[in-house]
Amino acid sequence: MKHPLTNNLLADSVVAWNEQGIVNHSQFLDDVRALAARLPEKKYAINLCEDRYQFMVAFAAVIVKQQTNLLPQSRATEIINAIAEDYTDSYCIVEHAVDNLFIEQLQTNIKLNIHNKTAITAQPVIPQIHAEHIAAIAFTSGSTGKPQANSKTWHSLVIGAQMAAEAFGFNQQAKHIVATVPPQHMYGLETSILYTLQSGCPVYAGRPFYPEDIRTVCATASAAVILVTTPVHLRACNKATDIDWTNIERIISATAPLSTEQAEQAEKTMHATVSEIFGCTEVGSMANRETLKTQTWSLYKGIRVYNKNNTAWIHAPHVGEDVAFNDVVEIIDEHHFKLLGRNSDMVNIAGKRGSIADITLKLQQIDGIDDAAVFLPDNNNDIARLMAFVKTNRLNARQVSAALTEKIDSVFIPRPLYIVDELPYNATGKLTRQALIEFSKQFKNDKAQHGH
Amino acid sequence: MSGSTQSQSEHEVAELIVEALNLEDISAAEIEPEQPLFREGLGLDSIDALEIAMAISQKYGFQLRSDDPENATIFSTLRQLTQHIEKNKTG
Repeated sequence: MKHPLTNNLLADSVVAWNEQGIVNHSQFLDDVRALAARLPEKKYAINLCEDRYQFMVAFAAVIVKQQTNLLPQSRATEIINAIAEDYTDSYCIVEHAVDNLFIEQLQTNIKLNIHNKTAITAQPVIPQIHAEHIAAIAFTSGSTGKPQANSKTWHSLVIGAQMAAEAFGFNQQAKHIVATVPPQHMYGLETSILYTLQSGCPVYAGRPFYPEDIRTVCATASAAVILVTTPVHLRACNKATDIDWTNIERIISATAPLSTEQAEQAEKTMHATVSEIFGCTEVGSMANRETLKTQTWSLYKGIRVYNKNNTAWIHAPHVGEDVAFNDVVEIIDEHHFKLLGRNSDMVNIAGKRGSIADITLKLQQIDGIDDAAVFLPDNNNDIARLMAFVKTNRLNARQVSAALTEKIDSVFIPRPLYIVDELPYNATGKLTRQALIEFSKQFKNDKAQHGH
Repeated sequence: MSGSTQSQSEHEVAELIVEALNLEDISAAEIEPEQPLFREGLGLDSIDALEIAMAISQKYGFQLRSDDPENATIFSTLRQLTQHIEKNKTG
Protein backbone atom coordinates (compact mmCIF):
# COMPACT_ATOMS: atom_id res chain seq x y z
CA MET A 1 0.00 0.00 0.00
CA LYS A 2 1.12 3.54 -0.70
CA HIS A 3 0.05 7.00 0.44
CA PRO A 4 0.69 10.14 -1.59
CA LEU A 5 3.25 12.65 -0.32
CA THR A 6 0.61 15.39 -0.44
CA ASN A 7 -3.15 15.45 -0.22
CA ASN A 8 -5.88 18.08 -0.53
CA LEU A 9 -3.61 20.43 -2.46
CA LEU A 10 -4.15 21.83 -5.94
CA ALA A 11 -1.21 22.78 -8.14
CA ASP A 12 -1.37 26.41 -7.08
CA SER A 13 -2.43 25.89 -3.45
CA VAL A 14 -0.19 27.72 -1.01
CA VAL A 15 2.08 25.36 0.92
CA ALA A 16 4.15 27.87 2.87
CA TRP A 17 4.67 31.60 3.20
CA ASN A 18 7.06 34.06 4.73
CA GLU A 19 7.83 37.78 4.50
CA GLN A 20 9.29 37.29 1.03
CA GLY A 21 6.28 35.61 -0.50
CA ILE A 22 4.56 32.29 -0.93
CA VAL A 23 5.36 28.87 -2.27
CA ASN A 24 2.73 26.84 -4.07
CA HIS A 25 2.26 23.09 -4.25
CA SER A 26 3.78 22.76 -7.70
CA GLN A 27 6.90 24.71 -6.71
CA PHE A 28 7.18 22.66 -3.53
CA LEU A 29 7.16 19.39 -5.50
CA ASP A 30 9.83 20.80 -7.83
CA ASP A 31 11.97 21.73 -4.81
CA VAL A 32 11.49 18.24 -3.34
CA ARG A 33 12.52 16.55 -6.60
CA ALA A 34 15.55 18.79 -7.01
CA LEU A 35 16.77 18.15 -3.47
CA ALA A 36 16.05 14.40 -3.64
CA ALA A 37 18.31 14.20 -6.67
CA ARG A 38 21.17 15.72 -4.66
CA LEU A 39 20.89 13.50 -1.59
CA PRO A 40 23.80 11.17 -0.85
CA GLU A 41 23.18 7.42 -1.24
CA LYS A 42 22.73 6.81 2.46
CA LYS A 43 20.01 5.43 4.66
CA TYR A 44 19.45 8.15 7.22
CA ALA A 45 19.31 11.94 7.11
CA ILE A 46 19.54 13.94 10.33
CA ASN A 47 17.19 16.78 9.44
CA LEU A 48 18.40 19.88 11.29
CA CYS A 49 16.69 22.53 9.15
CA GLU A 50 15.23 25.33 11.27
CA ASP A 51 13.23 27.10 8.60
CA ARG A 52 9.98 25.18 8.35
CA TYR A 53 9.81 25.26 4.55
CA GLN A 54 13.38 24.01 4.18
CA PHE A 55 12.65 21.34 6.77
CA MET A 56 9.53 20.27 4.87
CA VAL A 57 11.34 20.05 1.53
CA ALA A 58 14.17 18.09 3.16
CA PHE A 59 11.73 15.83 5.02
CA ALA A 60 9.84 15.06 1.82
CA ALA A 61 12.97 14.62 -0.32
CA VAL A 62 14.35 12.12 2.19
CA ILE A 63 11.25 9.93 2.11
CA VAL A 64 10.83 10.23 -1.65
CA LYS A 65 14.37 8.86 -1.86
CA GLN A 66 13.28 6.03 0.51
CA GLN A 67 15.55 7.26 3.26
CA THR A 68 14.63 8.00 6.88
CA ASN A 69 14.59 11.36 8.66
CA LEU A 70 16.32 11.35 12.04
CA LEU A 71 14.87 14.03 14.31
CA PRO A 72 16.95 14.90 17.38
CA GLN A 73 15.34 16.86 20.22
CA SER A 74 18.30 19.13 20.51
CA ARG A 75 20.93 20.59 18.22
CA ALA A 76 23.67 20.05 20.81
CA THR A 77 26.76 18.80 18.99
CA GLU A 78 27.24 15.88 21.40
CA ILE A 79 23.70 14.68 20.77
CA ILE A 80 24.02 14.85 16.97
CA ASN A 81 27.39 13.11 17.07
CA ALA A 82 25.97 10.39 19.33
CA ILE A 83 23.15 9.74 16.86
CA ALA A 84 25.61 9.70 13.98
CA GLU A 85 27.63 7.06 15.84
CA ASP A 86 24.57 4.84 16.24
CA TYR A 87 23.36 5.37 12.68
CA THR A 88 26.58 4.99 10.76
CA ASP A 89 24.96 5.25 7.34
CA SER A 90 23.76 8.80 7.94
CA TYR A 91 24.38 12.44 6.99
CA CYS A 92 22.99 15.80 8.10
CA ILE A 93 20.74 18.14 6.16
CA VAL A 94 21.26 21.75 7.22
CA GLU A 95 20.60 25.24 5.93
CA HIS A 96 24.02 26.47 7.01
CA ALA A 97 27.10 24.46 7.89
CA VAL A 98 27.26 23.49 11.58
CA ASP A 99 30.61 23.44 13.41
CA ASN A 100 32.09 20.42 15.14
CA LEU A 101 29.92 17.71 13.58
CA PHE A 102 31.79 14.50 12.70
CA ILE A 103 29.43 13.76 9.86
CA GLU A 104 28.77 14.69 6.25
CA GLN A 105 26.61 17.81 5.91
CA LEU A 106 24.38 18.58 2.96
CA GLN A 107 23.15 22.16 2.63
CA THR A 108 19.63 22.60 1.31
CA ASN A 109 20.45 25.58 -0.92
CA ILE A 110 16.77 26.27 -1.42
CA LYS A 111 16.34 29.92 -2.22
CA LEU A 112 14.97 31.75 0.76
CA ASN A 113 13.21 34.31 -1.37
CA ILE A 114 10.10 32.25 -1.77
CA HIS A 115 8.37 33.12 -5.00
CA ASN A 116 4.95 32.78 -6.47
CA LYS A 117 4.87 30.81 -9.68
CA THR A 118 2.49 31.96 -12.35
CA ALA A 119 -0.84 30.20 -12.54
CA ILE A 120 -0.52 26.50 -13.18
CA THR A 121 -3.24 24.41 -14.69
CA ALA A 122 -1.73 20.94 -14.93
CA GLN A 123 -2.07 18.84 -11.79
CA PRO A 124 1.50 17.94 -10.76
CA VAL A 125 2.71 14.37 -10.32
CA ILE A 126 2.60 13.56 -6.62
CA PRO A 127 5.16 11.04 -5.35
CA GLN A 128 3.69 7.91 -3.74
CA ILE A 129 5.37 6.66 -0.57
CA HIS A 130 5.22 3.08 0.74
CA ALA A 131 2.94 2.97 3.78
CA GLU A 132 5.39 0.87 5.79
CA HIS A 133 8.42 3.03 4.98
CA ILE A 134 10.01 4.45 8.16
CA ALA A 135 9.63 8.12 7.32
CA ALA A 136 11.12 9.44 10.56
CA ILE A 137 12.74 8.41 13.79
CA ALA A 138 12.06 10.87 16.60
CA PHE A 139 14.40 10.85 19.57
CA THR A 140 13.38 11.46 23.16
CA SER A 141 15.56 11.13 26.22
CA GLY A 142 15.10 7.69 27.70
CA SER A 143 15.56 6.43 31.23
CA THR A 144 18.58 4.37 30.24
CA GLY A 145 20.57 7.48 29.46
CA LYS A 146 20.57 6.99 25.71
CA PRO A 147 18.09 8.89 23.55
CA GLN A 148 15.14 6.65 22.80
CA ALA A 149 14.35 6.14 19.12
CA ASN A 150 10.70 6.19 18.06
CA SER A 151 10.13 4.99 14.53
CA LYS A 152 7.28 6.49 12.54
CA THR A 153 5.99 4.76 9.45
CA TRP A 154 4.63 6.96 6.68
CA HIS A 155 1.28 5.25 7.27
CA SER A 156 1.15 6.22 10.95
CA LEU A 157 2.01 9.85 10.13
CA VAL A 158 -0.57 10.10 7.35
CA ILE A 159 -3.39 8.48 9.33
CA GLY A 160 -2.51 10.53 12.42
CA ALA A 161 -2.75 13.73 10.36
CA GLN A 162 -6.07 12.63 8.85
CA MET A 163 -7.50 11.92 12.30
CA ALA A 164 -6.40 15.33 13.57
CA ALA A 165 -7.84 16.99 10.47
CA GLU A 166 -11.19 15.40 11.18
CA ALA A 167 -11.09 16.37 14.85
CA PHE A 168 -10.25 20.01 14.04
CA GLY A 169 -12.37 20.28 10.91
CA PHE A 170 -9.49 20.96 8.50
CA ASN A 171 -11.22 18.65 6.03
CA GLN A 172 -13.90 21.23 5.47
CA GLN A 173 -11.47 24.11 5.29
CA ALA A 174 -7.68 24.25 5.28
CA LYS A 175 -6.30 26.72 7.81
CA HIS A 176 -3.17 28.84 7.88
CA ILE A 177 -0.77 27.59 10.53
CA VAL A 178 1.78 29.55 12.55
CA ALA A 179 3.88 27.45 14.90
CA THR A 180 6.32 28.29 17.67
CA VAL A 181 7.39 24.66 18.09
CA PRO A 182 10.30 23.11 16.16
CA PRO A 183 9.46 20.64 13.36
CA GLN A 184 11.93 18.12 14.82
CA HIS A 185 9.56 17.62 17.75
CA MET A 186 6.70 15.14 17.13
CA TYR A 187 4.07 17.74 18.00
CA GLY A 188 5.69 20.26 15.67
CA LEU A 189 6.13 17.65 12.93
CA GLU A 190 2.47 16.69 12.99
CA THR A 191 0.98 20.15 13.25
CA SER A 192 3.27 22.19 11.06
CA ILE A 193 4.48 19.68 8.47
CA LEU A 194 1.90 16.90 8.18
CA TYR A 195 -1.16 19.16 8.45
CA THR A 196 0.34 20.95 5.47
CA LEU A 197 1.27 17.88 3.43
CA GLN A 198 -1.89 15.91 4.16
CA SER A 199 -4.60 18.48 4.93
CA GLY A 200 -3.45 21.30 2.72
CA CYS A 201 -2.94 23.81 5.56
CA PRO A 202 -0.45 26.51 4.49
CA VAL A 203 2.29 26.98 7.08
CA TYR A 204 4.43 30.00 8.01
CA ALA A 205 8.02 29.10 7.15
CA GLY A 206 9.62 30.82 10.13
CA ARG A 207 9.44 30.15 13.81
CA PRO A 208 8.28 33.25 15.69
CA PHE A 209 9.67 33.34 19.20
CA TYR A 210 8.82 36.48 21.18
CA PRO A 211 5.18 37.52 21.63
CA GLU A 212 5.72 40.52 19.35
CA ASP A 213 7.08 38.20 16.61
CA ILE A 214 4.04 35.98 16.93
CA ARG A 215 1.69 38.95 16.76
CA THR A 216 3.31 40.33 13.62
CA VAL A 217 3.25 37.00 11.79
CA CYS A 218 -0.39 36.32 12.69
CA ALA A 219 -1.56 39.86 11.94
CA THR A 220 0.00 39.86 8.47
CA ALA A 221 -1.18 36.39 7.40
CA SER A 222 -3.61 36.41 4.50
CA ALA A 223 -6.27 34.51 6.48
CA ALA A 224 -7.10 33.87 10.14
CA VAL A 225 -4.47 31.54 11.58
CA ILE A 226 -4.22 28.59 13.89
CA LEU A 227 -1.44 29.29 16.36
CA VAL A 228 0.34 26.09 17.35
CA THR A 229 2.23 26.65 20.56
CA THR A 230 2.98 25.56 24.13
CA PRO A 231 1.99 26.71 27.64
CA VAL A 232 5.40 28.37 27.95
CA HIS A 233 4.78 30.61 24.95
CA LEU A 234 1.15 31.26 25.83
CA ARG A 235 2.15 32.47 29.25
CA ALA A 236 4.59 34.91 27.65
CA CYS A 237 1.89 36.10 25.24
CA ASN A 238 -0.56 36.56 28.11
CA LYS A 239 1.94 38.69 29.98
CA ALA A 240 2.53 40.96 27.00
CA THR A 241 -0.53 43.01 27.88
CA ASP A 242 0.30 45.91 25.57
CA ILE A 243 0.02 43.76 22.44
CA ASP A 244 -3.11 43.93 20.28
CA TRP A 245 -3.78 40.47 18.94
CA THR A 246 -5.66 40.02 15.70
CA ASN A 247 -6.29 37.40 13.05
CA ILE A 248 -5.96 34.31 15.27
CA GLU A 249 -8.87 31.91 15.04
CA ARG A 250 -7.70 29.09 17.24
CA ILE A 251 -4.78 28.43 19.56
CA ILE A 252 -3.56 24.87 19.90
CA SER A 253 -1.39 24.08 22.90
CA ALA A 254 0.41 20.86 23.74
CA THR A 255 3.49 19.36 25.45
CA ALA A 256 2.25 20.18 28.98
CA PRO A 257 -1.08 20.82 30.65
CA LEU A 258 -2.37 24.36 30.20
CA SER A 259 -3.92 25.94 33.27
CA THR A 260 -7.49 27.20 33.07
CA GLU A 261 -6.27 30.69 34.05
CA GLN A 262 -3.80 30.87 31.16
CA ALA A 263 -6.40 29.51 28.73
CA GLU A 264 -8.99 32.03 29.92
CA GLN A 265 -6.65 34.93 29.56
CA ALA A 266 -5.45 33.78 26.16
CA GLU A 267 -9.01 33.53 24.88
CA LYS A 268 -9.79 37.00 26.21
CA THR A 269 -6.72 38.87 24.98
CA MET A 270 -5.97 36.93 21.81
CA HIS A 271 -9.64 36.59 20.77
CA ALA A 272 -9.30 32.92 19.85
CA THR A 273 -10.55 29.55 20.99
CA VAL A 274 -7.99 27.61 22.99
CA SER A 275 -7.68 23.89 22.28
CA GLU A 276 -5.21 21.39 23.60
CA ILE A 277 -3.81 18.29 21.97
CA PHE A 278 -2.86 15.24 23.97
CA GLY A 279 -0.29 12.85 22.65
CA CYS A 280 2.64 10.65 23.45
CA THR A 281 5.78 9.87 21.53
CA GLU A 282 4.69 6.35 20.61
CA VAL A 283 1.27 7.24 19.18
CA GLY A 284 1.66 10.91 18.31
CA SER A 285 -1.29 13.18 18.93
CA MET A 286 -4.41 11.23 19.80
CA ALA A 287 -6.97 13.41 21.56
CA ASN A 288 -8.07 17.01 21.86
CA ARG A 289 -10.29 19.21 23.98
CA GLU A 290 -11.36 22.81 24.22
CA THR A 291 -9.66 23.76 27.45
CA LEU A 292 -12.36 26.06 28.82
CA LYS A 293 -15.28 23.89 27.75
CA THR A 294 -14.35 20.55 29.23
CA GLN A 295 -11.87 18.55 31.27
CA THR A 296 -12.66 15.53 29.11
CA TRP A 297 -10.34 14.56 26.28
CA SER A 298 -11.93 13.19 23.10
CA LEU A 299 -9.84 10.60 21.33
CA TYR A 300 -9.50 10.97 17.58
CA LYS A 301 -11.90 8.74 15.66
CA GLY A 302 -10.49 5.22 15.47
CA ILE A 303 -8.43 5.43 18.68
CA ARG A 304 -9.70 3.68 21.83
CA VAL A 305 -8.73 3.70 25.49
CA TYR A 306 -9.26 0.63 27.67
CA ASN A 307 -8.34 -0.69 31.08
CA LYS A 308 -6.15 -3.73 31.57
CA ASN A 309 -4.74 -4.70 34.96
CA ASN A 310 -5.50 -1.25 36.36
CA THR A 311 -3.53 0.48 33.66
CA ALA A 312 -5.07 2.56 30.90
CA TRP A 313 -4.02 1.45 27.43
CA ILE A 314 -4.35 3.11 24.07
CA HIS A 315 -5.33 1.16 20.99
CA ALA A 316 -4.45 3.06 17.84
CA PRO A 317 -4.78 0.90 14.71
CA HIS A 318 -2.29 2.99 12.70
CA VAL A 319 0.54 2.51 15.20
CA GLY A 320 0.80 -1.22 15.76
CA GLU A 321 1.16 -2.30 19.35
CA ASP A 322 -1.06 -0.84 22.06
CA VAL A 323 0.60 1.63 24.37
CA ALA A 324 0.20 2.07 28.13
CA PHE A 325 -0.51 5.60 29.33
CA ASN A 326 2.39 7.45 30.92
CA ASP A 327 -0.19 9.33 32.95
CA VAL A 328 -2.82 8.46 35.50
CA VAL A 329 -6.20 8.70 33.73
CA GLU A 330 -9.88 8.17 34.40
CA ILE A 331 -11.55 6.33 31.55
CA ILE A 332 -15.01 7.76 30.85
CA ASP A 333 -15.80 5.56 27.86
CA GLU A 334 -13.66 4.07 25.12
CA HIS A 335 -13.39 7.41 23.34
CA HIS A 336 -13.08 9.75 26.32
CA PHE A 337 -10.83 10.14 29.33
CA LYS A 338 -9.71 12.63 31.97
CA LEU A 339 -6.13 13.21 33.06
CA LEU A 340 -5.68 12.80 36.79
CA GLY A 341 -1.95 13.15 37.12
CA ARG A 342 1.38 12.70 35.53
CA ASN A 343 3.67 9.75 35.97
CA SER A 344 6.22 10.93 38.48
CA ASP A 345 9.41 10.01 36.63
CA MET A 346 8.74 11.52 33.22
CA VAL A 347 8.81 15.30 33.04
CA ASN A 348 8.01 17.53 30.14
CA ILE A 349 9.79 20.84 30.04
CA ALA A 350 9.35 23.19 27.11
CA GLY A 351 8.15 20.27 25.02
CA LYS A 352 11.12 18.09 25.82
CA ARG A 353 10.53 14.84 27.62
CA GLY A 354 13.04 13.68 30.16
CA SER A 355 13.31 11.09 32.87
CA ILE A 356 14.12 12.35 36.36
CA ALA A 357 15.87 9.05 37.11
CA ASP A 358 18.05 9.50 34.05
CA ILE A 359 18.94 13.10 34.88
CA THR A 360 19.72 12.11 38.48
CA LEU A 361 22.01 9.35 37.23
CA LYS A 362 23.85 11.75 34.92
CA LEU A 363 24.30 14.17 37.79
CA GLN A 364 25.60 11.45 40.12
CA GLN A 365 28.10 10.36 37.49
CA ILE A 366 29.84 13.74 37.37
CA ASP A 367 33.36 13.51 38.73
CA GLY A 368 33.51 15.03 42.22
CA ILE A 369 29.84 14.47 43.09
CA ASP A 370 29.17 12.13 46.00
CA ASP A 371 25.38 12.02 45.78
CA ALA A 372 22.54 13.93 44.18
CA ALA A 373 18.76 14.12 44.06
CA VAL A 374 16.60 15.71 41.36
CA PHE A 375 12.90 16.41 41.63
CA LEU A 376 10.09 18.50 40.20
CA PRO A 377 8.87 21.00 42.79
CA ASP A 378 5.24 22.07 43.05
CA ASN A 379 4.77 24.36 40.19
CA ASN A 380 2.85 27.53 40.76
CA ASN A 381 3.61 29.59 37.70
CA ASP A 382 3.13 27.17 34.80
CA ILE A 383 6.82 26.87 34.11
CA ALA A 384 8.12 23.59 35.39
CA ARG A 385 11.77 23.55 36.40
CA LEU A 386 13.64 20.74 38.04
CA MET A 387 15.38 21.35 41.34
CA ALA A 388 18.41 19.48 42.69
CA PHE A 389 20.42 18.86 45.84
CA VAL A 390 24.01 17.85 45.30
CA LYS A 391 26.47 16.50 47.81
CA THR A 392 30.00 17.47 46.87
CA ASN A 393 32.93 19.12 48.56
CA ARG A 394 34.86 19.74 45.37
CA LEU A 395 32.46 21.65 43.12
CA ASN A 396 30.26 24.71 43.39
CA ALA A 397 26.74 24.94 41.97
CA ARG A 398 27.84 26.63 38.78
CA GLN A 399 30.53 24.04 38.07
CA VAL A 400 27.99 21.28 38.56
CA SER A 401 25.54 22.97 36.17
CA ALA A 402 28.26 23.49 33.60
CA ALA A 403 29.28 19.82 33.76
CA LEU A 404 25.68 18.72 33.44
CA THR A 405 25.04 21.02 30.47
CA GLU A 406 27.43 18.87 28.44
CA LYS A 407 25.32 15.79 29.10
CA ILE A 408 21.70 16.88 28.93
CA ASP A 409 19.53 19.46 27.22
CA SER A 410 19.75 22.78 29.04
CA VAL A 411 16.00 22.92 29.83
CA PHE A 412 16.57 20.01 32.21
CA ILE A 413 19.38 21.71 34.15
CA PRO A 414 17.99 21.89 37.69
CA ARG A 415 17.48 25.36 39.04
CA PRO A 416 18.03 26.11 41.79
CA LEU A 417 20.75 23.57 42.35
CA TYR A 418 21.84 23.54 45.98
CA ILE A 419 25.10 22.13 47.32
CA VAL A 420 24.29 20.33 50.57
CA ASP A 421 26.09 18.33 53.26
CA GLU A 422 23.48 15.58 53.42
CA LEU A 423 20.43 14.54 51.44
CA PRO A 424 17.14 14.08 53.33
CA TYR A 425 16.99 10.28 53.25
CA ASN A 426 14.25 8.79 55.44
CA ALA A 427 14.67 5.97 57.94
CA THR A 428 14.27 3.33 55.25
CA GLY A 429 16.94 4.94 53.11
CA LYS A 430 14.53 6.47 50.61
CA LEU A 431 14.41 9.95 49.19
CA THR A 432 10.78 10.91 48.77
CA ARG A 433 9.63 13.83 46.68
CA GLN A 434 7.79 15.17 49.73
CA ALA A 435 10.97 15.10 51.81
CA LEU A 436 12.83 16.92 49.05
CA ILE A 437 10.12 19.57 48.85
CA GLU A 438 10.23 20.10 52.62
CA PHE A 439 14.02 20.25 52.47
CA SER A 440 13.86 22.90 49.75
CA LYS A 441 11.57 25.08 51.88
CA GLN A 442 14.22 25.10 54.58
CA PHE A 443 16.70 26.38 52.03
CA LYS A 444 14.46 29.19 50.93
CA ASN A 445 13.97 30.21 54.57
CA ASP A 446 17.67 30.08 55.29
CA LYS A 447 18.37 32.23 52.29
CA ALA A 448 15.74 34.77 53.35
CA GLN A 449 17.19 34.93 56.86
CA HIS A 450 20.77 35.38 55.78
CA GLY A 451 19.83 37.77 53.02
CA HIS A 452 22.25 35.89 50.79
CA MET B 1 33.80 51.53 32.11
CA SER B 2 35.99 48.81 33.54
CA GLY B 3 35.48 45.23 32.39
CA SER B 4 34.00 43.45 35.33
CA THR B 5 32.29 46.14 37.41
CA GLN B 6 28.55 46.48 37.00
CA SER B 7 27.25 49.95 36.24
CA GLN B 8 24.10 50.98 38.07
CA SER B 9 21.85 50.19 35.12
CA GLU B 10 23.58 46.85 34.61
CA HIS B 11 22.98 46.02 38.23
CA GLU B 12 19.31 46.86 37.80
CA VAL B 13 19.05 44.49 34.80
CA ALA B 14 21.01 41.84 36.68
CA GLU B 15 18.49 42.06 39.50
CA LEU B 16 15.66 41.71 37.01
CA ILE B 17 17.28 38.56 35.55
CA VAL B 18 17.85 36.98 38.96
CA GLU B 19 14.27 37.72 39.96
CA ALA B 20 12.65 36.68 36.66
CA LEU B 21 14.53 33.39 36.55
CA ASN B 22 14.44 32.51 40.22
CA LEU B 23 18.21 32.20 40.28
CA GLU B 24 18.38 31.37 43.95
CA ASP B 25 21.97 30.20 43.85
CA ILE B 26 23.38 33.40 42.40
CA SER B 27 23.05 37.06 43.36
CA ALA B 28 22.69 39.96 40.95
CA ALA B 29 26.13 41.29 41.86
CA GLU B 30 27.73 38.01 40.86
CA ILE B 31 26.72 38.27 37.18
CA GLU B 32 29.80 39.36 35.28
CA PRO B 33 28.88 42.10 32.76
CA GLU B 34 31.02 40.57 29.99
CA GLN B 35 30.32 36.90 30.71
CA PRO B 36 28.00 35.07 28.31
CA LEU B 37 24.50 34.75 29.75
CA PHE B 38 23.64 31.61 27.80
CA ARG B 39 25.39 28.26 27.65
CA GLU B 40 28.80 28.50 29.32
CA GLY B 41 28.09 31.47 31.56
CA LEU B 42 24.83 31.31 33.43
CA GLY B 43 23.74 28.43 31.23
CA LEU B 44 20.43 30.01 30.32
CA ASP B 45 18.15 28.55 27.63
CA SER B 46 15.31 29.64 25.39
CA ILE B 47 12.64 29.50 28.10
CA ASP B 48 14.83 31.91 30.04
CA ALA B 49 15.02 34.22 27.04
CA LEU B 50 11.22 34.34 27.02
CA GLU B 51 11.08 34.94 30.76
CA ILE B 52 13.60 37.76 30.53
CA ALA B 53 11.70 39.24 27.58
CA MET B 54 8.49 39.25 29.66
CA ALA B 55 10.21 40.95 32.58
CA ILE B 56 11.79 43.54 30.27
CA SER B 57 8.51 44.42 28.59
CA GLN B 58 6.86 44.90 31.96
CA LYS B 59 9.60 47.00 33.47
CA TYR B 60 10.87 48.94 30.48
CA GLY B 61 7.77 49.06 28.29
CA PHE B 62 8.98 47.58 25.02
CA GLN B 63 8.72 44.18 23.34
CA LEU B 64 11.77 42.25 22.17
CA ARG B 65 11.67 40.94 18.61
CA SER B 66 13.64 38.18 16.93
CA ASP B 67 13.92 39.97 13.64
CA ASP B 68 16.02 42.67 15.26
CA PRO B 69 19.24 42.44 13.23
CA GLU B 70 21.25 42.69 16.45
CA ASN B 71 19.29 39.96 18.13
CA ALA B 72 22.10 37.46 18.41
CA THR B 73 24.19 39.92 20.38
CA ILE B 74 21.45 41.49 22.53
CA PHE B 75 21.41 38.60 24.93
CA SER B 76 25.05 37.64 24.71
CA THR B 77 26.09 39.45 27.89
CA LEU B 78 24.57 41.52 30.66
CA ARG B 79 26.31 44.57 29.19
CA GLN B 80 24.84 44.07 25.70
CA LEU B 81 21.37 43.44 27.09
CA THR B 82 21.56 46.57 29.25
CA GLN B 83 22.67 48.68 26.28
CA HIS B 84 19.76 47.35 24.23
CA ILE B 85 17.34 48.23 27.02
CA GLU B 86 18.81 51.73 27.40
CA LYS B 87 18.27 52.32 23.68
CA ASN B 88 14.70 51.03 23.59
CA LYS B 89 13.03 51.71 26.91
CA THR B 90 10.00 53.91 26.88
CA GLY B 91 9.56 54.95 30.46
